[in-house]
Amino acid sequence: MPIPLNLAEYPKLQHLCIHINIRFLEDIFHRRDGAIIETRRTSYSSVNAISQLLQTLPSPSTLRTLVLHVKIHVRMSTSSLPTFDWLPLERALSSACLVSADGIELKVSLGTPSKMKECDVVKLLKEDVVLSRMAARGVLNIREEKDWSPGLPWAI
Amino acid sequence: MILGRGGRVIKHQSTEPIFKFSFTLASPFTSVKSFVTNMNSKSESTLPPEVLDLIFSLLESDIASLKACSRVNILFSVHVERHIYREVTVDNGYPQAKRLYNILLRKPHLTSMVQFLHVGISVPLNAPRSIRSFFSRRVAQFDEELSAIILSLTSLEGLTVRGNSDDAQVIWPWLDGRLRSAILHALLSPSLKNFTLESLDEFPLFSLKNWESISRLTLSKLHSVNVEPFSEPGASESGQGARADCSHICSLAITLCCPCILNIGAWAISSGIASQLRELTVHSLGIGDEGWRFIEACQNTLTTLELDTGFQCESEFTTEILAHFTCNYSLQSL
Repeated sequence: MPIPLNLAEYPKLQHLCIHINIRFLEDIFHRRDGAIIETRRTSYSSVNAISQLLQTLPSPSTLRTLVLHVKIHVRMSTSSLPTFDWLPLERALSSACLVSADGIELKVSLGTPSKMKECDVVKLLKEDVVLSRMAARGVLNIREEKDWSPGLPWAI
Repeated sequence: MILGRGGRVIKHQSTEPIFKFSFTLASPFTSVKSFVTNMNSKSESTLPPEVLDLIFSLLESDIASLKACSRVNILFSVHVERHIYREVTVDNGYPQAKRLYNILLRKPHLTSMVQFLHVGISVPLNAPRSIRSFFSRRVAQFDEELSAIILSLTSLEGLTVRGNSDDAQVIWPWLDGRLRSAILHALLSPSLKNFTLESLDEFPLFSLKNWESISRLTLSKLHSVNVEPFSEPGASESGQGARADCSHICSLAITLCCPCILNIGAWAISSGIASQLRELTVHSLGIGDEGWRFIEACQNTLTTLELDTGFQCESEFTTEILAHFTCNYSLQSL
């Protein structure tokens, strides 16, 4: 569902923090013969909506700080990040980094309790080609945010 | 100096006295008292009060250490007091409310030291029996003491009122009349800047028009809010029933208020908050037309915007993770 805001119409906006929720849902079926069938589904909808929202930022802009808080939602039992196409996130960041005076801070949290650690996700993001290039240019700062505590389950 | 075998010092004789104060044998009690007094005067001359305050402020999250420091001497005790009582949490379902009430009676100077008060409200005894039966562990027993505590605090900067329940929301009209009046009275305090309302439904939002010092409002985990014209007993008579201006609120946070975000948005627009709001935080699944309209209405003044629209998850996923959250909501209500 798109976010019906046009950030170009906010003439005094200096600090913008957007939460990006990325959800991985694994379906595990235990067959009678003992075999395990595993399927993985990923939700991109939040990323796409935020990508579109960031494209409405004017250039030049009054924006000084832009924080994107990526929250990864996985099952409790998940110990490693499933395969994920980071392209929508890259697009969102590429457009946003042009307008934010102080660059972009990308905070990474786990949206739900998991065996995974925040640092695993940060490591994965830093290995991404586009994101690593942006970080090398100094327009993107990726860090883990451990203090964030998830709110309620349906708000993820 | 007397040296023992191998040159080890076994006794030190010096013309300089080791202690610069003397004991008198006439009254041991007086002697100890003078010792403490001397220690206090030495401490006072050694560390400036602002340095002590700075050190103790670093311990504010560690009450046990602060209490230990307060036992060192009178000077420490005086300095530590304001850090122990700077932020206080009290609940009407626990005897701590009565204990705090008694402490404030004995030491009235503490009432001016409390800057942040977190009030937990359990379901009161006058709530409908059918609702009360849900709450087997705690019921409100100390409303009177809690009301007196709230009324006695003169330097409050932040007030949090939180409904405590495991299975359902606490409803504002269920609260004891004295407690409601005390909370509304506290909101009149000219020093109060921040007000947080959490898990307490049907609070009369339009009553905020009377409390012009409040600049930051946080609404969290609410099912419903009362947006009817304000007519709370015990509040200011002036302007009752009128939808007056709430534009003194320049920072608003709406967190997990999914079922009532439409009402909050409508209230925020009609009360004039949008014309002055500089900081807005919205964490909510499904903001709705009124919510988006409210955010758009703030566009000319907003300097800070934090937005988390979340997304819906399937029930199987929710069931699995539900156990890891403390939640007052019922999923059916969505």
